Amino acid sequence: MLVESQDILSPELIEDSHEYWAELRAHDPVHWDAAQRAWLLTRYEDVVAGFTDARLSSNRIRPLLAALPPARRERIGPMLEVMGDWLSVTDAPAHTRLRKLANSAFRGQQITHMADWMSELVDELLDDFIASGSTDFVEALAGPLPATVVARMMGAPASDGDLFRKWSDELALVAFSAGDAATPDRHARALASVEEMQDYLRHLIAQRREKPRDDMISALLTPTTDGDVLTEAELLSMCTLILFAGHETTTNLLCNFLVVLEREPHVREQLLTDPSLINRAIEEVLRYEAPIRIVVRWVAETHERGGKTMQAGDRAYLVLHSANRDENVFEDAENFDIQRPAQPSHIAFGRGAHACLGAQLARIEARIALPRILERLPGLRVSGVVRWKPLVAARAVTALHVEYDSRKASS
Amino acid sequence: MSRVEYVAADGTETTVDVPAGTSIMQAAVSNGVRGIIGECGGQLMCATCHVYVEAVDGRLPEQTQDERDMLDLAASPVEDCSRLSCQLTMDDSIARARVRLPEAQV
Repeated sequence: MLVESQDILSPELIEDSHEYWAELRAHDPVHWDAAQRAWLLTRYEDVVAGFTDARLSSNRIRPLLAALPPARRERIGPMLEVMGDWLSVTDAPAHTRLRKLANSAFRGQQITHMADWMSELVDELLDDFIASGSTDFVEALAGPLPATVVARMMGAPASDGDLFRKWSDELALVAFSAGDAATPDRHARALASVEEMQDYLRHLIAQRREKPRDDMISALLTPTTDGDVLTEAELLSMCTLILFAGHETTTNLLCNFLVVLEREPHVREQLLTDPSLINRAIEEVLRYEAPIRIVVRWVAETHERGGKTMQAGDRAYLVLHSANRDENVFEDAENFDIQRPAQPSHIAFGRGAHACLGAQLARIEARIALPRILERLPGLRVSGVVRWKPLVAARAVTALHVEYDSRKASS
Repeated sequence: MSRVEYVAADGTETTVDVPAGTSIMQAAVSNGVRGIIGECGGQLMCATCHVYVEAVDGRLPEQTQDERDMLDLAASPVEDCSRLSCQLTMDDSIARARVRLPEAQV
């Protein structure tokens, strides 16, 4: 049976797509969405297979650029050029090389050693939040924390985290596919931000070339043992990606955690009684309300999947939000349950060669920040109605205001 | 072929014959052995394939500094016999390996 397509950017589906995903999983697991010009893959096994199937290419920006009609190319081409060399949109062997260099620089940061500093940062942010009387969770905590962490890791002054946030928010309009209807100028806005960001990075890279330090930019400047090194353009592209990917999604993880907790108040009690449950709770939020909704691939070779012919040049959407609630994989999949066994495991961070570079960093940040937030903001509640940004790829709140018992807030 | 015995945290044992060139992580994932996740697919970036090596007939690949760095991120306690199983590629000189799986990988 074929299921009729729904608009995955409609207000109803942005609010909650799960009924639609369940229908697709049951009746049309490889579904052609004409409006998105994409195949929607909704079953866990297809999404997992899709991550590692070379016929579904990550190299989706270059072919798109090549296929653009001239008028459109002039408008959106420059921004796509910037993203065209991102690690996330290349295939082997180019990807293998870039990823190896990125992995090595990332490992060298030994993020477990940053835990004490991160705890202090969380406390400073909480101090300011409590003192200011602000209610804006994104502005005060969920935004600055990951941005400051990634800024420091890269080697920028931690105080410049705010700059990265501003640039990334604009970049997200293109990278997470906001849709042209909602934001017709998104490519121009994103490009302006990226140009500012790259000017900033060029300056920082030049400083580190001159005088290397113990940071990620310095590590990325260092040739590997076999003599390979990134070109200036590759380095800029890599830094842009890491700064962007390094915090936007973690901001969303922290926010989504609070949103889920608001709907599952007993979990907040469970966590206050037994803080050791925090890791399981974070993993369950990653399954249930993952910061990434859909991962985009490009069909590089015509092939059959689920009885459908996916033509070379089509797009394929790996619907993580659907796979993570596949009833054939997860028992009681639509229920939020922090006692759920760790396996089968969610695929919020993807799988294989393109699996999230910063997955463990995101986990560490969340594990440090969330218990402290719950402890220092007693009676923490989300206030007002939560709305989600109309994005294909990401699951991000438009804003998140909170209230708590300020008389009991601990300093 | 190498014979790999996986001992889950609850004591359940699974034995898999692993061809040369395949890692203990890959063999677990493709045979549905619970207790090893292997999120990053073996590129030493996630530490979700942590195992405790209990016995080995043969010689396992040496541990690199990168592997030691990543073991810092393991969710369960790291012991002297801790390894990331994506780095334990079998070859015909290894007749048997017995690994215990930790309580948690994330």
